[in-house]
Amino acid sequence: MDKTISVYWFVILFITAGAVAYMVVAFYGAPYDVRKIEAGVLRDAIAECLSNGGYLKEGIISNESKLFINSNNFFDNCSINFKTPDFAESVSTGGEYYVEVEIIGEGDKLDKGSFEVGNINLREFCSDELIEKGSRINPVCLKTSFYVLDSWNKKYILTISALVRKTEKNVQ
Amino acid sequence: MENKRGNVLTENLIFIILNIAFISIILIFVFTRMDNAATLEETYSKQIALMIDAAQPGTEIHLNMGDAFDRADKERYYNSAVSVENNVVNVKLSEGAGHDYSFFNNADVSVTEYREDKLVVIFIDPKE
Repeated sequence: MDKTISVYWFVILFITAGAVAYMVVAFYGAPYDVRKIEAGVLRDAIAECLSNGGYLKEGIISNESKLFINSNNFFDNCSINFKTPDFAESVSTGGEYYVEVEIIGEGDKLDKGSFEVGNINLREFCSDELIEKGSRINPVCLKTSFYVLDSWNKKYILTISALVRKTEKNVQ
Repeated sequence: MENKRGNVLTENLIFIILNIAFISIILIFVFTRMDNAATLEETYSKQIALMIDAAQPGTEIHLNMGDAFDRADKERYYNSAVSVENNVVNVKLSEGAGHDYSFFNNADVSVTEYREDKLVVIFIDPKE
């Protein structure tokens, strides 16, 4: 009977049970962080809204390289809605999303256009420094640049930054 | 000599039985935590919100939610499990608030549940 009722054996049992319980509660108690996926989907939705098959869509840019889409008509044109009624504090903080679009023309003269929508207080999290640093509790920002052509075959670099905050529901 | 052998056998038997009981308790604890209603509510609300975000207008999504409906049956919750209102997906598998998660796709979303088939069908239409 020495083995079964040994104090040491019970100590080991309790330590093992405690460790397993702690790990399980920590793993299943923490929310699933889907912000990176969500930011990726948002970025792709904006890219699809502005371009198709490597070409800028009709009505995005004029022949003088003027950007027609802006913060006023972005939501209607891209069928996007940044309202988040599930975050009560969103009204005071300014929202859970931030998007910045920049288009730079290549050629004799450098044409440039940009706009931003969403919570501008989150803009700093889309800086290259903070994206590279990457913190679990910071909002997640994804930044992508790619080449597009307009209907006159003029080349542009389109940069899209898409940010999702939603910290309360994704980080413990 | 015979008595000593008998003691050794009993000791080992009790030792093995206690070990099995201990491992069983741990496994039951792990599995209970794995498929509790709150975890499933969170998983499905986020999954559905992301699917709606990624969907094009006119898409019809068929989602098997067998494990979620089984859990709702165990909780004796027979009301609608998935609802979408004002850009928010709510999944509820027991009495309580359920789990909310918002999506950014500005579309008209409707949800139909086929509980016997353990299926949820989500329609994404452009906003009128």
